[in-house]
Amino acid sequence: MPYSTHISVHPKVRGISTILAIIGTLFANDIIIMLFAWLVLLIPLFTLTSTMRSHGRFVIKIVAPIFIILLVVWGWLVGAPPGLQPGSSSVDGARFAIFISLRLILLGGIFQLCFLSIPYDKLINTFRQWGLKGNWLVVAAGAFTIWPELKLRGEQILDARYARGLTPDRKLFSRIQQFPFLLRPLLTWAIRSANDRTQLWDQRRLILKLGRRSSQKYHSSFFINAYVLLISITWLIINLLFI
Amino acid sequence: MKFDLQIARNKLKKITQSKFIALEGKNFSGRSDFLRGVTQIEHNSVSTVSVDVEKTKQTSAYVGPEVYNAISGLSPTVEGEIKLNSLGSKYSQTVSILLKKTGFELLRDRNPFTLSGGEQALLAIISAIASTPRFQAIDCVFEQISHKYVNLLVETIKEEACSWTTFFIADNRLDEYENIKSNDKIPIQNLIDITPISQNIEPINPMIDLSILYESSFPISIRNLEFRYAPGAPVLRDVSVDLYPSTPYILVGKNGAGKSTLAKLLSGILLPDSGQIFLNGSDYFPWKHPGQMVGYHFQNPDLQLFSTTVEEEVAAGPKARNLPEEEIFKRKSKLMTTFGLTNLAKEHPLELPFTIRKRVALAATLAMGCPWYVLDEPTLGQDEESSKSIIQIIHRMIDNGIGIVIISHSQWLQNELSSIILWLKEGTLMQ
Repeated sequence: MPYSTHISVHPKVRGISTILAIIGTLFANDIIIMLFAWLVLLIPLFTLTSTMRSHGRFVIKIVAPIFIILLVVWGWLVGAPPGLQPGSSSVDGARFAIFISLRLILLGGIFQLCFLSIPYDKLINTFRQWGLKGNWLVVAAGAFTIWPELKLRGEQILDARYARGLTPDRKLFSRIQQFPFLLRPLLTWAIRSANDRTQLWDQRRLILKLGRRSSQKYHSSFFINAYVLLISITWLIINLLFI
Repeated sequence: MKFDLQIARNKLKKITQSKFIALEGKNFSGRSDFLRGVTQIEHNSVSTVSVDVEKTKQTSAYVGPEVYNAISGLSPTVEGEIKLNSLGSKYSQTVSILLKKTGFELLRDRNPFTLSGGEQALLAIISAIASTPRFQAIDCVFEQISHKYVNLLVETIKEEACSWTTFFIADNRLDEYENIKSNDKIPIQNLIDITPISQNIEPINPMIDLSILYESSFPISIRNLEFRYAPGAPVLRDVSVDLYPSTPYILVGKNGAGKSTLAKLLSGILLPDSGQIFLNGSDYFPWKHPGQMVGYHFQNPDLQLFSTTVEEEVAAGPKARNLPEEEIFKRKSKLMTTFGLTNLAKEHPLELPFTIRKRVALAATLAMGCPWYVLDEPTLGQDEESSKSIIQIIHRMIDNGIGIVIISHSQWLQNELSSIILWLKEGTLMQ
């Protein structure tokens, strides 16, 4: 199996850019600039790194419901943003809902770009470059596999219950009703797996290998690094200027 | 289980010259304990070999029947898993060849846990080889892999290319693999002296009358069934077949061919993308009533068991059907006696040995009393005696008009049942 020749952002540049972009977003208070940053800076980066689907899911499944709730509460029920007389300005209430939602999109998006765009074969190396070692490195690496595995295991328990006729149908409500029954088998599985896996890591000296593998030289492009750093610095400066 | 250390030491000294050892023995004869001792999983069952490994800080690898736990969980892709194990490997070339020949190059970006059972078994063995262990144990894993790949693996690991490692194999189908020769096999009794097992495990009793579970069955017709897990090539395409009760069917195909997927579609666990299923000539939608007409016994019992005691597990299906308490009790008692589980009624299913977990899962499936069953590797992890008993139970069910489709790589099972072979190849079904 050949090694990937994928050239990516250097972990240190990735880390610094993320921090700068988050600080910039926390200072951001102009809806137009935030919208611009999302549409013109972030969206193309999501497209380039093939993570647009994940971002789309985040916006639709998490931010959109929050936005609707905020809009109803501050734009309609209260009719004003926090700190103003209720009913004094529905438009400002709606603006507040948009502002919070955009901030969520930007912060979430920056985190997604930072982590989801790391090529799998560079994941461990990136964590190592961020200063994680030993058991912490194992925890970080495991964090990227535990969620898909947990989700899969949950699905498998549901399948087992379907197969035994314990779930009347495949409707969403029936699936939600099964949730309490998933907890105990999931916990049992997690404990058993943790025990077996640690023995496996010990047997094959995998933690040691993980450390050795991550200390391999990291190939990244100067121009990509400079571009990412420039975007984040620009974003920070713009927001500091518009405070 | 206790070993006589002195005897084990003397005997092991003789065999460690050999690089490939296939252990013969029945269930609970001490094979797994021996393998776990050799590869340092259990330090209580110390052997000379494991002491040697400890002293020299060499690696060892145990791949047990729960193959998903022999995958590190540290890499989100197949490629990452192999690379992690391969670091500093003496067998990089051999591993590359194995990956190519088993088709894993096409699966390199897949999450290891989304692979089929057989593919996971293959990955677990290959990644263990990649880690260049001094001792590698493969415990009831070959049974989960198609014979073609088992023979390829055996041929490869017996070559000089893997000469650093001593391989220990425990398997109930040793006679079926042409590359495992008689001089590779050693009865486990020749290696260890074992004190009798204290667990109250009874043999399977196929003579118990299970007629209470038999329901009149009817033909199933599948027409143009198609299914895909994600956008991309379908796992199953244009699958059409007529199945009749009282005729044993065996579904075969290489690992990842879609055998379990077809079983899940029939039992209503999955929803097909297109196609129709007819029961006795009438339209049937199993996904609207999962597990009602077609009972599915999973290959991996750990994916099927969810209750906290064995008796609850066996009773779960009948309870879901709202059967009277008396009927549930009868079914539970009969099946627990049949599968030798009476003394284990209050045990947690997942704390039992793999062989017994498989029996619990089988009993729990049959307790449902469905007119049709799909049994995925029903004899997995069972020795010859237990396998024969299971075949007898299946024969009696077939004779009583129950419809049965068995998924298995076992040639012996195919011969014993003299069944119709359904061959799943590249998503299509051939008889």
